[in-house]
Amino acid sequence: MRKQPRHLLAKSSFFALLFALTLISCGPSDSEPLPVLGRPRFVNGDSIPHTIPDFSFIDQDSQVVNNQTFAGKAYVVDFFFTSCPTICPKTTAQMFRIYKKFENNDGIVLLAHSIDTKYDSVPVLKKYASKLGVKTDKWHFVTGNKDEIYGIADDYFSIAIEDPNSPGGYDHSGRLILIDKNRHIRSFCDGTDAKDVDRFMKDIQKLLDEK
Amino acid sequence: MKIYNKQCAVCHNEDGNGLKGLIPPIRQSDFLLTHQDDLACIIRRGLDTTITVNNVVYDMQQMPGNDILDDIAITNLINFINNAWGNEGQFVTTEKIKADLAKCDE
Repeated sequence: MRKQPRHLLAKSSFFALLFALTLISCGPSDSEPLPVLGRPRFVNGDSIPHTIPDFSFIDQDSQVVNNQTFAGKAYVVDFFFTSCPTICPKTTAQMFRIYKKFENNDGIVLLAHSIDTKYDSVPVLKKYASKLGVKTDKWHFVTGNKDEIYGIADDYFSIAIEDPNSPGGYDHSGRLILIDKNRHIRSFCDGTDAKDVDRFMKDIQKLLDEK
Repeated sequence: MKIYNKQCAVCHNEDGNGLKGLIPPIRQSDFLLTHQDDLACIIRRGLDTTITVNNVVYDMQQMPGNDILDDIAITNLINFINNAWGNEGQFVTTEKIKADLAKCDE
């Protein structure tokens, strides 16, 4: 029950975001820059855009991954777990499309958070990444403090909760989120929907083309 | 093929090639040909055991079941994957699929 408010919070952020996107889809043309998404904070009358906070996790090569890892780069985030029987294979398959498309572009990397911190140890993540044959520098699979991972999911407008009634024991959204080098969310998509991912990849290219 | 593209392609890809060492191929898959009588139950119930396809071991990713596909949809799907991408599987009838599905719990 303690997790419920967080779930609702994530949901309400999502609907706020949906509303914002609806406005956007009616408005600017393709030539305009991607919006900065999320609910801004107001401090002394100044509007501060939603910003991804500090984090520190461990990747499949046992290396620390934190904000500095992504300094000067854009990155794409998702939440998954290796034994997930439902949407994760789909989101991983779609993340792999993004990986292949931008494999040789140093401006963008991928960050997959495991929400099963009990089972998904570093060796398990290593095996998963090896099966995909991907480079760690380009696609980090991370584990870490459970509360920290579940907490940062909220900041990425994603849902991550333990739920014994869900297949595999966890409930989470299959969203892919695009973060710019200033830690702002610039786009997202449904990582189980290849067409939506097509649109998302255009957004990534647009972000990379920003001066 | 609508059912394949909707239920299967997100993981197994539209070309049936799967995803590297994580998700097995359906295209030119020896497993497909040697497990014809198991396909219906695998599609409906999913798969959480280790399998070897074309000499590659797949042991990390569970396959989800597809409760929303009825017996006829599963028949159509199997006939599609049995013959797509140069595959040379058999043509199956709904009667056979119903009989296979009746044995899922055995």
